[in-house]
Amino acid sequence: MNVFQRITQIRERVVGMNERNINLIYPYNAKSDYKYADDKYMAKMLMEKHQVACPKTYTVVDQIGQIDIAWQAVREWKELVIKPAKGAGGKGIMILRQDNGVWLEAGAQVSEEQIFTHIANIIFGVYSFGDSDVALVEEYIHPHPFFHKLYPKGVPDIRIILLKSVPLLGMLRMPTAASNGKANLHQGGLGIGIEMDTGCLKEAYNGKVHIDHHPDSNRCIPGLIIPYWEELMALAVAASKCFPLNYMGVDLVIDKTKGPMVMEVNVRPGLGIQLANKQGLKQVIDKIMMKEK
Amino acid sequence: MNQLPRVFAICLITLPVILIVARLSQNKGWAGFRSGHGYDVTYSMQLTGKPGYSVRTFLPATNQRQKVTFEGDRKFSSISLENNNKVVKWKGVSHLQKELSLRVFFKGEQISYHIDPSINYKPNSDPKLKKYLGSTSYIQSEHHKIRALALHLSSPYTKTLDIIRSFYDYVLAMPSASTSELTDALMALENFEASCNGKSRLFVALCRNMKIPARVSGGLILEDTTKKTSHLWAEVYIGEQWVPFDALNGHFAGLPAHYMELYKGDHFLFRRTAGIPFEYQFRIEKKRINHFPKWALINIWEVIDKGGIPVSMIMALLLLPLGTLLMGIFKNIVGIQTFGVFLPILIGLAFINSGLLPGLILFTVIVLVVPVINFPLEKWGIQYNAKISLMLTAVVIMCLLSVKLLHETQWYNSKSALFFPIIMVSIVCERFAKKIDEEGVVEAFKLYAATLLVTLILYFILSTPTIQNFIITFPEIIFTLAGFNLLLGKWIGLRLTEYYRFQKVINS
Repeated sequence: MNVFQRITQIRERVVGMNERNINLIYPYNAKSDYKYADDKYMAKMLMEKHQVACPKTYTVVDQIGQIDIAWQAVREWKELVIKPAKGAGGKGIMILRQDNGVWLEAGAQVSEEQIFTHIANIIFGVYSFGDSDVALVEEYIHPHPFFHKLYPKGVPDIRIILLKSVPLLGMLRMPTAASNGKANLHQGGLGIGIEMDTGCLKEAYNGKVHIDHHPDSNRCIPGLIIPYWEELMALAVAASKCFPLNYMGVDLVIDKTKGPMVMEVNVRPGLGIQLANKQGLKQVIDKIMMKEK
Repeated sequence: MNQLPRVFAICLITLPVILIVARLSQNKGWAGFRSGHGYDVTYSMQLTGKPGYSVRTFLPATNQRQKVTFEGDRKFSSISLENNNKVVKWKGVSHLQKELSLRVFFKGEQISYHIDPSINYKPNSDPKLKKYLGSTSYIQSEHHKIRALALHLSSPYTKTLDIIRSFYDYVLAMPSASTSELTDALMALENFEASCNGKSRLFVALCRNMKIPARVSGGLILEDTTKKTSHLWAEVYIGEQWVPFDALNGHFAGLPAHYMELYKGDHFLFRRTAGIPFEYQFRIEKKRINHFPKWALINIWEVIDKGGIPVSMIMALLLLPLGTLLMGIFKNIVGIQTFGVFLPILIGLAFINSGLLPGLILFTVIVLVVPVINFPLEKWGIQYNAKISLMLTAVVIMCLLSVKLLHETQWYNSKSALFFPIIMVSIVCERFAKKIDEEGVVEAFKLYAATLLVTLILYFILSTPTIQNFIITFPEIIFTLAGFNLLLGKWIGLRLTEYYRFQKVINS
């Protein structure tokens, strides 16, 4: 394939930022509805109302003066996650585990003072473009053992992009040693494409190249089948139906005891999913449109 | 697909262009020139010539740095070319006082020559230039005193440019006299004091003594006034071209836009029948020539001239839409990410104000201070707003130091330096700190580099005088830019950088 053929193919298959904004996000979502996705607190309330499974919320802190009181109420939990309601790209998330009365974040000890500063930063808007925000303290998800074999640390999640509640593309986001337990592609995680009919994993994309094994465990990835695949797809569709948004990304996790849950939803799902799947969104949308006709 | 925005955009783009073409055809203007002024120059002479009179003077000619057109009636007897100068003559008999007049319109451009400093000095013996090398009654280049001075001034140097500069500096430093009497080269040297004509002749004499071809040139310094005083400067033949020097008003290898050249060579501006009463003056009127007043929606030049509004303010305002369009192109077509959408435009405009190099240095210093401060504050777990506040304080201190330093080194106008921090401090600092927090120093510096690149491109486009003048003269072009912006806002093509990013999608 010469350069011109490649350029033509990219143009015919891939959806870029401009097209995503103008042809997908703007026409399918009303601006006034973005808040249901952008604010994780609102998203959770909506999903709880429609009985869509999601991690349990322990408490919500919206004022710096209440950090202390709120903390007293949740410090009995052995594990918890603190996250900004309006944070984007996995920023500002603190995962804590208690060990003999000492709090640990990714194995390193953290003082309560540091935790308080983090909550204060969240409320002050450090992770939400300067808007004041609220801090969510919620249940820690224990990933399903399926993921342990690939890499034991962090919380992997499954991103599904849906258009009018029809799943288009899916990607498993795996943490790596380089990503520090985070599953986000920008932060060094792996994006693994998924066969949408079967839940069968394709190759992994590490932000630069495609590989067929996890860089830390060396486990071979392609061909593995995600557990609960049908439930996951049903959950993604159910979640998308309780939001007034027609083009969105749904991030799912699988807890080892509670099963599939919706972690969060996104109104501007990233375009890297096309790289993980080696498949352009345009191709997929065209195919679905053909089927509808 | 809704076609309305596209139709609207096409209208926005074309209608102003039609108006501009119409304005260009309806107005006589000189849009191509940099400075926006021209001068109406009226020669006015009063004489009585009972037995008959004859008056001759020079007319300015159009050349590389000046454009001259005749205006009004042409009641002269003849016009001819003498030694490449345009000479105009009046002849007649007049028993009563007679008024002779002539009007020209002048448009000049500032010019400055680059002279190759490496040209070695060599006496010129080109026979074609012989008349610019010899001694004359007013330019006594072979006189022993001139010879002694020329040798003294040129002895330390071997390059032509250095020798000329040495002569120029000597003549420039000589006290100026306000006399309008004819002063020849020798008198200027002996009195160590001279007006324009003495200084120019002395400078030419020194050059000719070293066998560097040189001549004097006469003309008027144009101001919005009525004057009699003409001016004389020098021209030196270096590197195959004639280069002007004014050793009275300090113009080295160049002339400002308001010098109107009338003749080359050592001549009298007026020559007339002896013994008749004769008076003359030049009435000069400064005129704005690039405003295309007919059919203008808004004549911004008039607003600037009458309202006393600084051009730079209006310019900054009018350049914003162009800047934002360019930013839109960088972001949505090229795909370069920068600190904020409008920041590069503001920094670019600030660069225009402060000068490129001082601006760049200040910008870089500010951006470097932030990570240095960020490091310990992050380590100590200082809360975000306190951290930003501390960084701002550091940046303010850096700005004050820079302003003081730049002021002391006299490098540039320190007033404009203060324009800078206001923008920098409030935006760059915070964004940069955030970027470092979230994605690390390397990513932050990548973004800084991209911002700098875009800023520089914007700076070079926005600081182009032709573009600036065009936008002020034809502000309706803003609608055209808006039309392009509208099209851009509906553009769904891949960004250039996305072709690179997504290349692996098709690698199967």
